[in-house]
Amino acid sequence: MIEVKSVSKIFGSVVALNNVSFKAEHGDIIGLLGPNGAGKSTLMRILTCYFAPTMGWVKIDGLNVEKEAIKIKKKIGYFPEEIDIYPDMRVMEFLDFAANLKGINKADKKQTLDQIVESCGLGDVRRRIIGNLSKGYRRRVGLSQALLNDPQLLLLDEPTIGLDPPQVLETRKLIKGLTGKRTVIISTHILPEVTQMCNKVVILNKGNVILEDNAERLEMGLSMGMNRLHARIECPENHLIDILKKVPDFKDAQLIETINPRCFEVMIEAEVETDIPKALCDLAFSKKWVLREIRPDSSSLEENFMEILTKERS
Amino acid sequence: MNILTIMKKELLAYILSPTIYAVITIFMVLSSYFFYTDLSFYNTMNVAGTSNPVEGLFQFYFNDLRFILMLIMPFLTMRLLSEEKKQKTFELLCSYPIRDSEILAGKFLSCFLVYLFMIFLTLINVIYICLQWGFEGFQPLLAGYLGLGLLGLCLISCGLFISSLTEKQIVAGMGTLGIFVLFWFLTWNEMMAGEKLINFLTRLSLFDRLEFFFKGVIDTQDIVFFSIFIIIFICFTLFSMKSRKLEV
Repeated sequence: MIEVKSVSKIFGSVVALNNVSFKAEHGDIIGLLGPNGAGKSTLMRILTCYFAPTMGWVKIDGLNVEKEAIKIKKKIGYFPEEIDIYPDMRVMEFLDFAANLKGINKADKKQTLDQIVESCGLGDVRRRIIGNLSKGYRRRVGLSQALLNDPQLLLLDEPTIGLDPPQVLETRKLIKGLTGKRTVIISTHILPEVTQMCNKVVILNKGNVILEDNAERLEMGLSMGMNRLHARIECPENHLIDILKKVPDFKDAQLIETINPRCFEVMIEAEVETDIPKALCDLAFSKKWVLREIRPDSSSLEENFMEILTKERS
Repeated sequence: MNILTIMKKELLAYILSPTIYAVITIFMVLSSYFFYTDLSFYNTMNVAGTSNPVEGLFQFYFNDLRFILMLIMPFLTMRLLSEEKKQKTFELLCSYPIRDSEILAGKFLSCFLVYLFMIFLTLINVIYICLQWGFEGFQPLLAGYLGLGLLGLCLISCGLFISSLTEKQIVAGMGTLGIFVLFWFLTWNEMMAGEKLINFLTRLSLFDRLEFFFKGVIDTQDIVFFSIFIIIFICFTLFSMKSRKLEV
């Protein structure tokens, strides 16, 4: 679906992107992660044919962004960062305008607009002036215009920035509901957003791709050679941690919390290739323990991210 | 089709903006005032009743109109592209399957329609005079209106270019006005410049070239000059729009 090959973008003396390469397949939800100034928006703009790369090439559905921009634009939906959509227009006026420019034929237009308004929850505000809407609704209007042409590639640049927590949750839910039949690229610097919405992550820093991995693996720390999980174990033993430490597959075990005299929360660390849940289940079965809960160690997501960036800087 | 869509949206933006009402009102008040004074002057000077109204009245009126247009046109053009840049909707527009030239054409046409509407309003004065004095001898007025039409196209193309350079409307407006004033004053400094230079500058001056139109003379050279002026500024604007490739 998307192939980004050795792409660089240079503005005068500023290297915004440096030799960036990655691929995305149909149905992928990719999180472009990185601190401010990492080059995420520049990459998004190249993908939307706003400008061409200085070096390298980008193909979307086999079409080159430099040579076949109009054909590509018919396949994409884009929601730029911090856009102030025509504040004087009414919601339906704007959507009608966007639908006309996206080439939606007259016969289907009304039905398409009604569907989009419904799916984006804009029914109550369809006749209101965009400038008078709350930020959450304005983001929805932005999202709805991106979806008008039922795009194969949806590009969302910081879709939840500036929203209050309930609006963030609503927007994430809305975006999650759009996935499946299309490729989605979400640019963000909010880490939980990536793990909640994406299946793949591309981390950018200072214009370089420093990591391309599965979101789950990043969350668990596997991307940086870490493999940790938390488990809640019910057992009669007093020396649970000692027993866990003696398991050859495990590198380390720590007691996190004593829930009650027979129930403990522990953190187990092992090599990346180790299947910790399987090894722990085997151990629990042999010792007749009860496993109340097993979950990946996601508390260290920010730490993992910072560690990746720090490694890159050093 | 895309041009029409952009044009309709821009016309809607004009209608929704209070600026347009202020601009049209000021234009009408000033143009009516100048027409009244020109008519009074004409009546005072034309005691014998033999003077040609085209030479004695409308030539002055058109000259006054071009001055008013020079002052108010920046208010119509300043927001066209700078507002899109400020609101970041330009980036959104560029993600739609349309060409930069279509965006430009839509905006250009919408502004020209508003301009034509304002010029159309001045016909009230002409129709009044025609009804009072009969319709004979007013054909040269068509040349005058053609001149005003060409002036409008030039002012819009120049204003659009300045608007494409900045995201601040006030800067676009002041910049456009500055350039218009420069074209107006280009031939004023006769003492500083030599005769040759003044002749050359007169050829470049938008406003001086209009005088022939206002006299009822349509010269191909003038039409070619205005066409080149318009094409150059449209090309500059397109280049400026495409120069986002250089944005940091």
